[in-house]
Amino acid sequence: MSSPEEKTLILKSSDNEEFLVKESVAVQCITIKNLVEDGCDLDAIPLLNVDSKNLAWIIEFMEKYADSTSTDAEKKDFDTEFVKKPFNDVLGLILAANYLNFPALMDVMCDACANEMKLWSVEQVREKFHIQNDYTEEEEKAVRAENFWAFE
Amino acid sequence: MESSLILTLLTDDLLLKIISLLNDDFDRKSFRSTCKVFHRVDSLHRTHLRLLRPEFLSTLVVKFPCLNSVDLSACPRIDDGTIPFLLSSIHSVSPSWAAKIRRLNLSRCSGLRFPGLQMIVSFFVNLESVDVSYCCGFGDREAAVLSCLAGLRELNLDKCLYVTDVGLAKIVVGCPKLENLSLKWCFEVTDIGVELLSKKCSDLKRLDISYLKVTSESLLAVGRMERLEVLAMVGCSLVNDIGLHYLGKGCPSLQVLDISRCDKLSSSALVSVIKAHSGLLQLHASYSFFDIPVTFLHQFKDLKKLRTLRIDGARVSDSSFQIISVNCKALVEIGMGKCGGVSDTGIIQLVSGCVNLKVFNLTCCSDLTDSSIRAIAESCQDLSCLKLECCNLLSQKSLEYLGSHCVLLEEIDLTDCFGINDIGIRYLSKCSELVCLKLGLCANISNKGLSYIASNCPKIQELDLYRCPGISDDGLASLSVGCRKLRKLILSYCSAVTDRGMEHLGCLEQLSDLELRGLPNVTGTGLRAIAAGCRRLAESSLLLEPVVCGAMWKSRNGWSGTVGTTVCTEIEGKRQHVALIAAIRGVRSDVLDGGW
Repeated sequence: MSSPEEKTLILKSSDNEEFLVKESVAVQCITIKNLVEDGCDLDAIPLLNVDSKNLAWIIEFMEKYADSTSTDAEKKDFDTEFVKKPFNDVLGLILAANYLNFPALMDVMCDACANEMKLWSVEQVREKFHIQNDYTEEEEKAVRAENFWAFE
Repeated sequence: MESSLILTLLTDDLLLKIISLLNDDFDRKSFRSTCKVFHRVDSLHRTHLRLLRPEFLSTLVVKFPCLNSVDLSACPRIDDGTIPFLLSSIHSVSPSWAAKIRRLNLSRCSGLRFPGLQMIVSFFVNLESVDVSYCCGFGDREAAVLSCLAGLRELNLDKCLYVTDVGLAKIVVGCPKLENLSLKWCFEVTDIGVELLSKKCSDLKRLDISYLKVTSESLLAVGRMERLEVLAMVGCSLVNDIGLHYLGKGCPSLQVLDISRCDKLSSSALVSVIKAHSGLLQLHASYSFFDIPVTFLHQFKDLKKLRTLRIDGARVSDSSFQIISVNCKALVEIGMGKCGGVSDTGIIQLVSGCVNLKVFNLTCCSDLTDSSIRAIAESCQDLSCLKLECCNLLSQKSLEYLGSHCVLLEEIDLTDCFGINDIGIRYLSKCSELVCLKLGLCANISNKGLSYIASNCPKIQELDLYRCPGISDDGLASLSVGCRKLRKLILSYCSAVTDRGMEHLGCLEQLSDLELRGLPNVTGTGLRAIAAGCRRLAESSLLLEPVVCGAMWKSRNGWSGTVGTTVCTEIEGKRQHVALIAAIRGVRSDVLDGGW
């Protein structure tokens, strides 16, 4: 049975780079799926919160997952390689996946993030997340005491 | 990515998703300590609390509004005297909190009896899951109290030694919605109790009647449980083949059956169960049969969904493996510990069909050589747990195969595998997901081997180096740098270890379980270093005379071992923090608290 010409979408990143993606692949992102279903007829779908670097990765991921010929084991291997990125990029992809509402990518990236966090000390977590320690000395002592004496 | 933006962009639900993947309590506590935002997200969404000190409960109740599960099993002084104060302090800060709690764990709260339990049950009226296991003094009065919880779905009464059929009857009538009931070691419960259970609790899905003195008549009653999915009857030595026939004719929903250590059962009777339950997922029959005849295994052609098979202790033949490998390709776990007749040919045959294996117990299958391990490694790349204790023909080659193919390996037991050496450990360390490694009695392991583990396996939590004479202080130094998540360490009879090694161990913050028997070169100085650094080991505040070591330590939740006490004092700021390190058989830390 011959199917009609597959519709291709143009996705435009926040820095105005355009990417061609098949519709069937792109609708793994629920945000895009909703736009398409609501009859968004623009030439290109603007993704204001995703830059070209992240969008290129996301498309790579989408295409791997949309491919029905790839097995679970192949996807797992792909994931293992895919998440080997600097932590800033991991965070960036989590935020992008959240914006695009792409559950598969969210799961893989959050898993990677949690796995890295498990091996870090508190100071390392702060450094990697670029978080300022907003506890005063007494507050921090109180939290540590609570953690140690009060509960598991 | 702009650093200042990160926290604003990471919304609560994103942080929540990440927290939910941090299952370990230590990781979650680190998360809380990072900054106030993380602390708030954790506090607002925390649903489970395992309390260590009762005095903190009222403050924590306010901080954790979403709690629905409370675990008091690690808390000292939960008894009839303290319960009224505890409950009233909670009520005064948050009157509506108790109604939200659905699960309560009171395991090992041996100071609790009928009056205290009565108050608890009146306070937490909406409980659906209660665990009072090992409250050994509990009997029918306590059972009657529990029967007031009409919404109860899950109840664990393991080792509540004085509960009889009368108490069970009260529960069964008062809690008809029961789905999960465990009665292990409740020796006073008989066939009558089980019969009543089957009549009244039609929703029952999981039942544990292990070690009870029930007969085959109970199995007639159990057979009538339409919804029962999991049945455990370990050590029911009064049940005979007639019971299995009853089971075969009933329990239409059965998925998991555990008949381990039932010495009156025969494998031919088990056939009747298998024939009628082709959807069986798990079959545990360890140490029940002397051998597994091939005629029995032929029935396995119907068990296409079987995921777990444990036949430890039984004699098998090469043809057994062939049958299993052809018929049960869905197997994920196989237990053949101490099985006679396990050969290389058999294993190679087995793993050619069972490629999904994750857990494989080959304890004491001492005829196995490197060829079996090669076959296992090449076929079962998802392998996560491998037990090879006493397989002393294995050499470093086995570990080479495992290191190359089974990168998901988390647990491996190589106790008494004499052929294992440092080169082998180097190969094994490629399995960077390793969590539990047992190298007891491996005389050819030295500090070098340990350094490979320390460099490549950061997730290690449990390490057994019992009687490894090649291990000394330098090995412990590398551990203290590379294995920060180490919780359980056995160094008994590693006689080369001295106080310097103990100092290194003091850096391991998560160390909670340490065995140090037979270490002549470790003195009070070394123990002091550990007490200062490993805060999880030393939690009680007591004063005792210092005594030379030779102690075996355990964390607060289980004290046992040789008699020997040692005390170290450590001055922390202005407070004198006195750590007790005691090893007294069977005594809980709360008893020590009060008695000394």
